[in-house]
Amino acid sequence: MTDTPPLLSIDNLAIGQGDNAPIVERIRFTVARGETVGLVGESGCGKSMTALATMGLLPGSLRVRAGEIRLDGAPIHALSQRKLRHLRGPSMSMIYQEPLTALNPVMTVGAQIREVLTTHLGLSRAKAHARAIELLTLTRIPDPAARMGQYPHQMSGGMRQRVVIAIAIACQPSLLIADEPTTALDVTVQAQILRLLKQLQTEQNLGLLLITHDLGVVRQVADRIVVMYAGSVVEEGDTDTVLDNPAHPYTAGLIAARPKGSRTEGAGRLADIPGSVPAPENRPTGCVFRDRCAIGQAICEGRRPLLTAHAGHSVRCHFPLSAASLASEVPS
Amino acid sequence: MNPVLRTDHLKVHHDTARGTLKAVDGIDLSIAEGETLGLVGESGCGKSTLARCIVGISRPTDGSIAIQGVSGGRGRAARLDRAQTVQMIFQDPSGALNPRLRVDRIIREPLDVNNVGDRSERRDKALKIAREVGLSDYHLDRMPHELSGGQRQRVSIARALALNPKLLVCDEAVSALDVSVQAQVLNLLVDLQKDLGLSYLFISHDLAVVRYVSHRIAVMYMGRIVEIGPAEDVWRGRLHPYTRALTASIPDEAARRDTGELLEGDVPSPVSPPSGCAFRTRCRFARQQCAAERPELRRVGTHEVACHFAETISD
Repeated sequence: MTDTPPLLSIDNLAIGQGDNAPIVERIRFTVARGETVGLVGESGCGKSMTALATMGLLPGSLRVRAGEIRLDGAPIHALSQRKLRHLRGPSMSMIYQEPLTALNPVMTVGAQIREVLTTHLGLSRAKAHARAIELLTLTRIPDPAARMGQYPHQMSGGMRQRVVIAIAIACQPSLLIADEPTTALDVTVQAQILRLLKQLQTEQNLGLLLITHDLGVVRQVADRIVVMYAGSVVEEGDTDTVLDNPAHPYTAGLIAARPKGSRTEGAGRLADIPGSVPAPENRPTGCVFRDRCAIGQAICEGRRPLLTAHAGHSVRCHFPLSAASLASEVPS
Repeated sequence: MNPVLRTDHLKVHHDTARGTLKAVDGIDLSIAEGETLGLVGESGCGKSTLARCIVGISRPTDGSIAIQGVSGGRGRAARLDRAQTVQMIFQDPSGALNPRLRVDRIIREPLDVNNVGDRSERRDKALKIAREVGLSDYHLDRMPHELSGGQRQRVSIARALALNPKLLVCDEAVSALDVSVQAQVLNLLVDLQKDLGLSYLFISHDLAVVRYVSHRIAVMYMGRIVEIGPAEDVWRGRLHPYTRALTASIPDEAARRDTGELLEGDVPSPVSPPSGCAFRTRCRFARQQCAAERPELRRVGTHEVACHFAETISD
């Protein structure tokens, strides 16, 4: 590692509403330039709130209650909306799950891309128009000049998501946050969009924070994986290492819960994780996963495990699984 | 023995300003007792329209649906009749449950509506079903918003089972659930099938889930079935270029790999489908014959496929 700070650094971040139980509790991870980090977890684990906090877009009365978010070494979690507005676009941008709601239905696609360019970069209308066509070309939209005059409803879901991506990269940000960018799309289109994101990342040396619940997507595109559960990071490390040898019982449970093979050819019962994700105010003391964990013991109730290094990655568990013990200890 | 469900040349055509939209265009399929037929295809391929026809929410414009060998009419009476044998589970359990009814009322409602037994019998029956799907007395006293997503989907399943149906149509029934809860509900559906001899029409965009639960798989494209057969034969011995592209598009969870066979472009407009084979505009094997002549489903090995060149395009 060199002395240059990571592109995005989230340090001890806690997010909550007033005095209520925090939604995100002291999480920590980084995203480097040119790196893809997959942020994984089930609904309610706090992954989207982490993304929104980074963008300075936390909804309602949710606030960053502790910790730091740094972009290129500079703290951004306490900046005014005015200052954040200058960062959103040129320094960081975000794409969302549902491209239809992310786009303005009464503006042409061209006008929406131009708006970003004239507002943030001060381009003239003609220059913005030319650059917008370039961006559509970059996102592999066929016949870009003709598409400029179309409205979102005239496009398919995949094309719309390409437009959203074109807008997101319009000001050449160094950090791109993608929150479930392919969840609303068909698998065939998902494959196209994932390929596109990967290509753009390489071409533009983007740091990509990819939020998803789909371990397959993470395996295919992420260099590193951060697994969240109930507001905490429970495991973190190199994607292949974590997915091949998960050390946290939750990660192992997520992998085991996915169907593999066919029941007609002897695939057995799915290894479900009993219960469901607790609401922030009902999270257990000690380890947040202990009430659903098959290997939990007394210490898990008394003391919250720390995120500690384990066989090449980090895990927050008093009894991390090792590759050898996995077969016997995964909840079945 | 008669199949639980049989459709013959089922069609749902809508007249639109720009022409006829053929949402479902001649579907022949059957589901045996205790069998799961998985149905896959991209959004807009007509799989949900087909499901709604089978349950009786939508009306077919042509063709027939036979339940346990009895081909009902297309009128209201026939559809009400069918509701006793065919039930549906929807994707979003929060939207499918009446937010103002307690869970026990929700499960009992089909029994009340159909005047099954007396009051106490209906109450006992609701309790029995609730236990079968893994809900306790505690849950019966709750309102839907007090339950988790997985528990709500169990309530939907219980309600669907109230009238002892033979066939459950599951339209993306586990898609909105988190992975860990999804596994619970899939296990439940499998158990119920074993215990009650249920048949399922299982629709999902998640191909790994479909592969896991199905005995047979049907692949739909633009209103028609392009491939159908035993699950593992369709999965491993896929013949139709569309099935191959679909399966190649799934991001593999077990290992990083290159997806070579990516589909370009989108599904064409259903109002003006391509001539001949509807898939030819996205097919890398398409030849002249594909534009001229529409391939019909034909038997190749253990399954059926609608492609002129099914035998010759293997790698």
